[in-house]
Amino acid sequence: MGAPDDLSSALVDLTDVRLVDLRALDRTVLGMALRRVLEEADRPQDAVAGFQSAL
Amino acid sequence: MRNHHLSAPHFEALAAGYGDVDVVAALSRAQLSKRLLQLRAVLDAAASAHPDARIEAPFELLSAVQESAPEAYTAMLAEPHVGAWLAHCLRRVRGSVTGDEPIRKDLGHLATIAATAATRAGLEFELAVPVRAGAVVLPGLGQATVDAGLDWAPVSSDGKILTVAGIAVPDEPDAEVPGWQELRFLEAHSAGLSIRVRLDDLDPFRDLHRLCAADRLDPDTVEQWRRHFNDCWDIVVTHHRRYAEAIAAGLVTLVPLAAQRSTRGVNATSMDAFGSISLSSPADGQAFAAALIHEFQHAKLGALMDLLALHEPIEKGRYYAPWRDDPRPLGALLHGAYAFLAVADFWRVQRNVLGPDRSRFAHFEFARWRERVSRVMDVLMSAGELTPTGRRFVEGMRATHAPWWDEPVPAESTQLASNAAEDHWIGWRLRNRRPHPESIRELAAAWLEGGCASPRTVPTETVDRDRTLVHNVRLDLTGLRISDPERFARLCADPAELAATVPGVTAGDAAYARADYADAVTLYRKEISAEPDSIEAWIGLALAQHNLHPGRQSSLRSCPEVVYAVHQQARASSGVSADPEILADWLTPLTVSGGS
Repeated sequence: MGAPDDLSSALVDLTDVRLVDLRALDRTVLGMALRRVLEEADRPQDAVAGFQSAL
Repeated sequence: MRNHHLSAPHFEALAAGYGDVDVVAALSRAQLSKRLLQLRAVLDAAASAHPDARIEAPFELLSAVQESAPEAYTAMLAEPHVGAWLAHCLRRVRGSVTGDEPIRKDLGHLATIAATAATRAGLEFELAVPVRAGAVVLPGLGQATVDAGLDWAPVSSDGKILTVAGIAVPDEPDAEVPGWQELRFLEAHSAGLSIRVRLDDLDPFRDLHRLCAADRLDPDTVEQWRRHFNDCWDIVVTHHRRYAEAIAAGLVTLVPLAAQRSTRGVNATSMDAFGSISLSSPADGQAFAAALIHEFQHAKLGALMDLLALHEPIEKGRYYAPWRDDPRPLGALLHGAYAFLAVADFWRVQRNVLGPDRSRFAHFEFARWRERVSRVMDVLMSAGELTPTGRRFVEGMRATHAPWWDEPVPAESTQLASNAAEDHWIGWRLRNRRPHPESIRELAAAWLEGGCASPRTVPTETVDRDRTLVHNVRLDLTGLRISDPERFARLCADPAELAATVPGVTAGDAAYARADYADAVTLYRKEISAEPDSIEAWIGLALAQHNLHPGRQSSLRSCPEVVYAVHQQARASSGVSADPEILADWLTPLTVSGGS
């Protein structure tokens, strides 16, 4: 748990999950975070690019 | 299972534009979770739709690495191009992109990732890895050339010696072994802060945005990168320390891009590859530092936006971004504002670093971006698309920016910055704003009949379009005039040499750049007469006329897209080109409605 004024994320924390268990995790547990990753994959790719002229 | 969170001080540090090692660590942990989610989604899709993909053995090996050497496992998943690979695979299995290789080879890249991690962990293993373009690339290590025609090649290790397609990979850096090319590093140390990044000219997933990644660099070119990187790091650490620590902690890889004549230089950051920045060969340490600071802002913000929603999920509006030639959605506008806030800060500080003789360009850049970023932050706050967290973030940016208004800038720099801003804004409107066709037909008919201009307000809309890139010759000339006035004067006296130095320059551009505005008006009018749809000439005329008569109201500046459209329509109807200045005066005063 973080401090009371922490900003909480919709991203589920998988950093301590054993990789062998990853495939068995219930999709409902992964929930909104998984949905967001899938939606992102369905959108066009957009590199944030900055162009510079030769000065 | 708990969710990620970000402490308030870390959020505020990022909002201010900065962030330290701990902030980067928090962002990196979140990226790890995102990648595991992507991996889970890829595994699910592969299991159902691509059962022939060779991912079971590498998955088991990667799991073994996690058990025996968790740090090597975490470091491997944190590799920027592992993120790019995962994002690409997820897009492929969901059908939103295609690839140059069969999908089972893209999925099979997991084997090269597992092999690299196992090598770092000192495990024994044997795997088949996919061959791409006659080579096997182990991400973060190097590349082995293999027999042409092979689709898969063996990689193994006895825990000590790695063998790739029969080639024993040397332990020693820079050791030369036929058939093996090692990734090179750039290292720099300054004032107690060190950085070590890969110069990745090998990874097959380093350029999914097709920005033209450079092929294998020759040793001389690598040396040049190293020299500029050393100079860059001195500048960043000595003068921009608030950005340096995050970069040292989070930047893992630089991807060299091939310089294109049309774009001169390009920098880019992929939201799929936190820790990697792509850039064409910088001209010097200062250009390198500016690019690094700029791009790492995108990396930090992209990672933050994976954690927290700063804007509404559906981006409705399309907005003017002073650093892009195409309309941008709100998230991209925020990205640009955040990056250019740091760019303004960079040049703000560089003014004092460079000394009076060399600071004119820094003053110009500071003045330009201080004003432009301020306007964009106002747009962001009033657009109605930011979440409360997003508004808090922009307030943090504003708090950093506000004191900068008290910093003096020479009048010449302010004027040139204002002209450059106006130049871009007029050009953007001409390219991206479309006046209502019926209003344009009415106005053109009234003009041809000798009547009064009506209607006085023209509805316009912003056209949604793909990325465009316009090379601005006047900006090149302005930069030359500021940074090397003597050379600029010599070139102005020699039109042939000027044309060779600044391709695409016109006589109007040259007159405008040397502030001969009367001459520029005449020359741009001639250019429009010869080529009525030359947008650059219309921009030049509007700018030159305004500088010649600063107090004069003209629809050339206030509604350039309407003047241009009426001119085109009247010419199409009558076969005669109107005098652009007389037409603009006839249309003045005029307003437009709609758009952002």
